[in-house]
Amino acid sequence: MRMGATRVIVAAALVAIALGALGMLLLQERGAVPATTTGTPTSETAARQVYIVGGGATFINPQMQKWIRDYMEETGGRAAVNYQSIGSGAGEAKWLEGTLDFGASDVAISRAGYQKLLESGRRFIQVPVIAGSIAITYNLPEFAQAGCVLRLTGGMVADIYLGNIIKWSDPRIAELQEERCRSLLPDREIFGVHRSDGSGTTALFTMYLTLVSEEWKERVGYGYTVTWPRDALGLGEGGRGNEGVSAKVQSTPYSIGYVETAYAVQLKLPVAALRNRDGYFVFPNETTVAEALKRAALELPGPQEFWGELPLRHYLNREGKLSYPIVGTPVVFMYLDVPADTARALYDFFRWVLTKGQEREHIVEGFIPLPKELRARALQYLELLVAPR
Amino acid sequence: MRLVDARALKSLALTAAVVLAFALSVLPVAHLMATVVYRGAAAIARNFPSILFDIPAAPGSRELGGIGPHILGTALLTSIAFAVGVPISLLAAVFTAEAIRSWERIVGRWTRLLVHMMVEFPTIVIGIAVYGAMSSVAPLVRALVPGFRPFSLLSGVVALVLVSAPYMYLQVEDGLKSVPQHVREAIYSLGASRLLTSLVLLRYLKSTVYAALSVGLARMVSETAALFFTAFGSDVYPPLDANLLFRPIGSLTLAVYTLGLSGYENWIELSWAASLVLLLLCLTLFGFSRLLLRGERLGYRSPR
Repeated sequence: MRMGATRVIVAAALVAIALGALGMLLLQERGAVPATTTGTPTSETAARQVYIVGGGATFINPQMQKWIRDYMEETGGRAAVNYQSIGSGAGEAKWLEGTLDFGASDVAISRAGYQKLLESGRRFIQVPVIAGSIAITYNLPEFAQAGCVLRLTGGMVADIYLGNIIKWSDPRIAELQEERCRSLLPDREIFGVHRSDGSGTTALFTMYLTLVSEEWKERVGYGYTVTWPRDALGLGEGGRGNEGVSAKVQSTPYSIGYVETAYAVQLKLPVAALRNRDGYFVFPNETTVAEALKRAALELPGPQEFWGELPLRHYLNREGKLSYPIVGTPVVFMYLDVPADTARALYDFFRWVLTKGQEREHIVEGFIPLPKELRARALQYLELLVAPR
Repeated sequence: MRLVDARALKSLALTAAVVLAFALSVLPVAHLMATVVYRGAAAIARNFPSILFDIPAAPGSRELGGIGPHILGTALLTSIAFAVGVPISLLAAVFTAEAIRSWERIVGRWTRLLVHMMVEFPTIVIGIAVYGAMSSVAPLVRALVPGFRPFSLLSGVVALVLVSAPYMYLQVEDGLKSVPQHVREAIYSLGASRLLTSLVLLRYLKSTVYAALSVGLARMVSETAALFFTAFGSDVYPPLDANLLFRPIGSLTLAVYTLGLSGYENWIELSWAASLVLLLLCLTLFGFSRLLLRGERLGYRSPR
């Protein structure tokens, strides 16, 4: 045994190396690993593989990964994009520090981050890449059995989270419901679930509530995290991440919560119809989200302006019969003063994302493509990457 | 008679309690391992052998894809970090354990103190510290290597060395100190130089050293937190060229975390597969180190 130890280790190392080599060979053959230095050094563009690194919002990660795969497939592995979901906040911070080629956030660059950018004097662009919306989900066994769908107004949602409405049977809620469902509202307290972690979802949701409720605006305001008045009554609780909120609502009868629509769709959670500005009850779906967002296309701020209040001013609670009121767009940001090949790689990838990437076959279930009006604006901004400098 | 009965009963009760306590303490580990093996094996069997080479499929798709970039990343990270960390920890251990002159002893004492502190650091702190250090030197490094980023294989290697080298150092140093003084004197009395003496001592402690190194390697393989802001992670193969060292790289542990938390069935399955690969790697290393340590004990009992 003692004599053999060295030999055993050497043998193990050799086996590991052999396995690794075999793996690489297999990979090259399958085309999974693009051969970087194409064997023939002909004068034509030495097909060097381009590589860009980004990080940020967790919400768009699944969609990003899908785009990356499809894009890499289409370019025959000539381009590699590495996106890691480190959270909107970290994405912004690391991009500002110059560690990432592009950052992504659920909302937009924060006020503090924007200040830093201005001080650094670097040129940059912000581009929306996909549409998102927030669904109000709930757990009402009586409604589920009878096939009823909950209807709510924004003001009522604010009142619930403020603690002004305590029970499901509250007459203000009852009068909104379809007649046959009205009597099914239980005489139970509403349990209000929210995100416990800082999140773009909460930011968007609370921004909406400040628009529809004066009291909310004064008492609570908006942000990645806020103080929830309903919690103080013992009738509310936080859950970590979209998955945490969904799980809590699912397991707690008579609760209400808000999640990214993609999650609600994926988990088949009941979704409330929300009354929009024009007085129609709408669900979040491709049509209603696009309807709301397309109106914002013409008002989209310049690529280098402060976008922090973009949802507040332009996206939320839009007019239109079919507009869903709580919509947003995750935003990608990148610097303009980068080496030409990096700029080119970013341009090629996001151009693809904003054109072909928005087609159904490249969209992950639950995500909603950008309306074409917004896409056109985004593409204009993107052109700055390859504009003559 | 009654007394004996009571005693026997007591003994039985205590034995039962001990067995129960043992079962309770083993149960979670056993359950954990069984679950990982069961679910991991199912995932790997579904897409074998491509699962070892492919990149993860798109989330929510019916295909599984694979964890190739993560296996490659773990292999690269650990092998390079091991190659760097082993000489450092061995040299440091020999230096502090075999210190003779007074300045050597002083440096040795401080080294030992610092290493003891470093072992206690949360690894996430080490990761962030490495990220900070790398970002501050990045502008300088970029003059030499234009493609350099603080998120890179290199940062990951530095972090892993900082996490794992202290362990290896402490174990080897303990081993060296446990060598009876007369053995050392015997070697010196043959006219051996200090260098030669150190080499002979390390050889004498071969099994301890190997065991320390395999535990160190296992720590590198299973490290997660220190890699978040250093290796960064990658679900695609980076271009395999000269700049590989300066680009982000994936790892199995990061894959378990990010894929497992995603909420998409096929990614969660991949996460189980990655867990199983990790478990197998760690168990192999653990078993290896036990085997070597047993060899050592036998060796002590019957010298020559």
